[in-house]
Amino acid sequence: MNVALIWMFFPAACGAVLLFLQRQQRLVYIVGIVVALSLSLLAWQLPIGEPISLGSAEFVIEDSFTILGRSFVLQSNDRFYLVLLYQGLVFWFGGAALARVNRLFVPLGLGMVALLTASLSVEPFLYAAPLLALTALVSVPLLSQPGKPNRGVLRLISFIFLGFPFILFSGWLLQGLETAPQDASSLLEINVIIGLGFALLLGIFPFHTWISMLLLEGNPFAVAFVLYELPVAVSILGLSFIERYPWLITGELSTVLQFVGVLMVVLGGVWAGFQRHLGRMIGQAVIMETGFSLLAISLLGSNSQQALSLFFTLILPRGLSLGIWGLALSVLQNAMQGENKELPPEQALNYRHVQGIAQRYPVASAALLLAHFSLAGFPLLAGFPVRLALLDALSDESISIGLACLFGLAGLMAGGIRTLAVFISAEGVLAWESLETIPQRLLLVLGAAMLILVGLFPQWFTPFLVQMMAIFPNLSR
Amino acid sequence: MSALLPFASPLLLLLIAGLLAGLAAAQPKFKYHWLVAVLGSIAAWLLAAFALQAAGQSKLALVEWEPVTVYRESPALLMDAFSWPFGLALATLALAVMLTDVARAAEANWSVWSGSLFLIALGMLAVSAGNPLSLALLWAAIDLAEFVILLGTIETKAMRERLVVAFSARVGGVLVLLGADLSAGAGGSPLNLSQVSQDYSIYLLLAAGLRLGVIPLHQPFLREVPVRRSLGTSSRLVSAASSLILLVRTATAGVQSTAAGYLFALACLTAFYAAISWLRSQDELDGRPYWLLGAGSFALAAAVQGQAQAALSWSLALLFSGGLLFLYSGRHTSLRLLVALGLLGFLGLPYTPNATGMQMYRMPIGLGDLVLLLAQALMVVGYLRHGLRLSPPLAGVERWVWAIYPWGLTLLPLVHFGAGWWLLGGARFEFPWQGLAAAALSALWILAARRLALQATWQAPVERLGRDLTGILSLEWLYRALWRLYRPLRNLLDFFSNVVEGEGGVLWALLFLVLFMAILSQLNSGAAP
Repeated sequence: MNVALIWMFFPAACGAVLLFLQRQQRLVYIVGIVVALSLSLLAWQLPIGEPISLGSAEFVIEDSFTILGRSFVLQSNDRFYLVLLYQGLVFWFGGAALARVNRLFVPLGLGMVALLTASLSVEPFLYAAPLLALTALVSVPLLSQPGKPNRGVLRLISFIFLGFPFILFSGWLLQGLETAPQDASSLLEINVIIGLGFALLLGIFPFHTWISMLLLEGNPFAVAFVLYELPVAVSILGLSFIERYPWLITGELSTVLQFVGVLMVVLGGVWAGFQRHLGRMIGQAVIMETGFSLLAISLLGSNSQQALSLFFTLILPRGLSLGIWGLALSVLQNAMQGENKELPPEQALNYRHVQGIAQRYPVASAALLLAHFSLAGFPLLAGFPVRLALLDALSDESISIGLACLFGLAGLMAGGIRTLAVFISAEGVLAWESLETIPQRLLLVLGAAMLILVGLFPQWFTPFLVQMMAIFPNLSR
Repeated sequence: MSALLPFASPLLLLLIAGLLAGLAAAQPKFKYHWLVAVLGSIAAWLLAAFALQAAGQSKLALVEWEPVTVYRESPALLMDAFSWPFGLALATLALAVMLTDVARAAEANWSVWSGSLFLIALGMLAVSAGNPLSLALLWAAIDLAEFVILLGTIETKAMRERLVVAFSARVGGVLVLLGADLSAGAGGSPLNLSQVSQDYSIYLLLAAGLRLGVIPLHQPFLREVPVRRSLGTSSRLVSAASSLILLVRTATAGVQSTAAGYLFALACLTAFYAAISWLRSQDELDGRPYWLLGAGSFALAAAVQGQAQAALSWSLALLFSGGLLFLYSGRHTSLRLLVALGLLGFLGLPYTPNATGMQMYRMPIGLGDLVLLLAQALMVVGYLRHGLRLSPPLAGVERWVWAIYPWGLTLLPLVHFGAGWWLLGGARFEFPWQGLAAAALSALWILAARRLALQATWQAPVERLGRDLTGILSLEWLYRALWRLYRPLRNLLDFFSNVVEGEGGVLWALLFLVLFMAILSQLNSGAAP
């Protein structure tokens, strides 16, 4: 028994089997949720590399698996990340059943997470880049409708496949530097190459356009899932670089990361303030989230423990908010298209089509707004404590960075307030009726309650998230 | 447990609000909601009244946000000589609302009482906020609760838009507060609400002013929202109190001289506009937003000059005298004495609660002070005008209503005078001439108005002048102009999005990358020695 078998091959195999059970959707969802839940429980409880007694039998889960000269290594340090990955999958699969996503969501979701686990564990770590590119490829059927070309997907794939050779090339150069003396010019070259690679993979300005384009054409819930999973995995790959080559995080790199991070937060915020499409609005929030992750990483040079704590603490509010936002948007999109069959999907979420929709879909509207305001750092909601903490830490470096980020958040809040105005813009007394299905209502209310719970009591969740920094023993030391 | 005692009053009110809702859901035939609300309010009032004496200045950590390597601050409450009067005022308001609601049987029910108590409890917690984080959390909670409550009652699209505008101004206030907190943290001394540094007082005044609608002058509700009288009064006064506490705390530090002049001028302008509008309002509910704006401007003017006691005094006058007038729904000649007491609480005559508020006026007196004096006089005239109306009359009600309703109203001036006397301290023996001057100006105004009313030819021009003046001072024209700028900017961004997302988007991205790297390299070479 080894780790690869449990957390990579097993979910991938389950995904493959479920591909053949497409006619029994309910069964597919149940199996998907049970598999994800079991794997997260196993990650939480099973010690890796230590003897386990089961009655009279005793066995050890080997922490590595070698294939074609490459190893997949998962140690006890990685367990918290695995828990988050598979627990998150339970949440996403639960929502997918209600968001009317593509039938392949569960099988491909399992496959994607298996690949993400592989990317986390592969040695040499550079091979994570092609695995991430493969993950993006697997996600394609989730992001587009069968038979309809999706320009956003094309651009995503173009940028990802342009980006990963840069990562491999920079890894090759870095390995060369380990044996040869370092000089400033080669360091600059390597930094530029790595920067380009990650800019393409993460959708960093000016390569961010695919994010909004995806949300214009795909199912919002499925797109939110991909936009949550991929950037986190790519950022962790970036951190792996710094873990392996800590001298990369020089003062100059920190400055560049801060500049790019602030740019993304401010641009995302300003764009959100002027946005008129609910789907694109999530895109702006995702762009800002990437900016915040970069800003957290930029703090590695001054206080690596704090930087990693903030980086991992950002993940839970992001996943929770994006999931609820995506689900609520899917409910509204389906409702709009149900009411007007001729409405193209990319126009269903335009402001002019959702005016006064809060009257008919109050739960979805409220959940959407709470998720939006959560990512905008509105007090009481999940995103607030960690944003405040990050802004505090950044302000210590430079108050202008903190205030610029606050400006970006104000832009996203302005977008939320405009959405609110559109949702309640109807003449006469609001005749409230709730046209969501009961399971949709339940899940959305539960999600909204979670947003408030995490926002008010972050101390119940943050310690767990902070433990994930153990993935990087050198940086977290 | 003893640390919790000073803050037990709002917690009890929250419990009662929840209990009322629970009873309504679990036992639909239960008839004693009002009694539960009144008993709970009495207990909360007693707890609030003796909170400060019980524990002196005390601080309570509500929850500990951990790990401390991530979170620097945790929500905390603070009870001191500033938060206590506000807490007492709100607890009195809760009891007054419950007692006077007997005269409004048609519009009162458990949901109104539960909503009022919930909002007032949040307000009491907000005025006891121990740090900017707690204040931001409680402001957000009040804003959301008020938004949801009002949304259910507003009937027109235009009013709903106004509601959203009001909400966005409040959110702006929260953001400015967080900005001040960040700046202070970056400066190495985290913002301490019990001892505000002068370096950040301007931001805090901006935050409070934005929420009150004073800086910049904005009044989202030019017409009062049609909401039940007691709930509307609770929500409006709670919201104001939660902002005024910040003004008072900031006043202890004052403002640096360069900014003080501008802020004082803004406060004068707003006070004058609000006073005219208050006087011209149809009734006290229609004019309620202007009452809050006007009295809030006086508090701001005092805070700008570092007069914390004066700011506190004006804040309490806003709450107590305003609360009395807004809850005075059933009119009767025998209750006019209460209106007179409410007026005395606001006027600033010697030996009355707002005598300390007269410290707002500077010596030697300047143009701004004259404007404030005139504004105060107009506010007084407006108070008299709205308070002395005798409609709707309190008639045809049962005898027990007559026994309870006046007590609900009496409570407000009674506590105001008691708390005011206690808070005045040494100032109670001073003789502020400004209050007398305001009273004299008010009397003159009333006399002049009576004369003019007899000459019909004067009425139309005076009305027009008032309308034009409020039109200019309201700054609505400025906001309309700004909104016109928004559209071309949005079209520009749309155009840019279309370009980068179009067929040539990848090429545009590469072009931007080259530009971006050129800028970065320039920055780097500029930074190099």
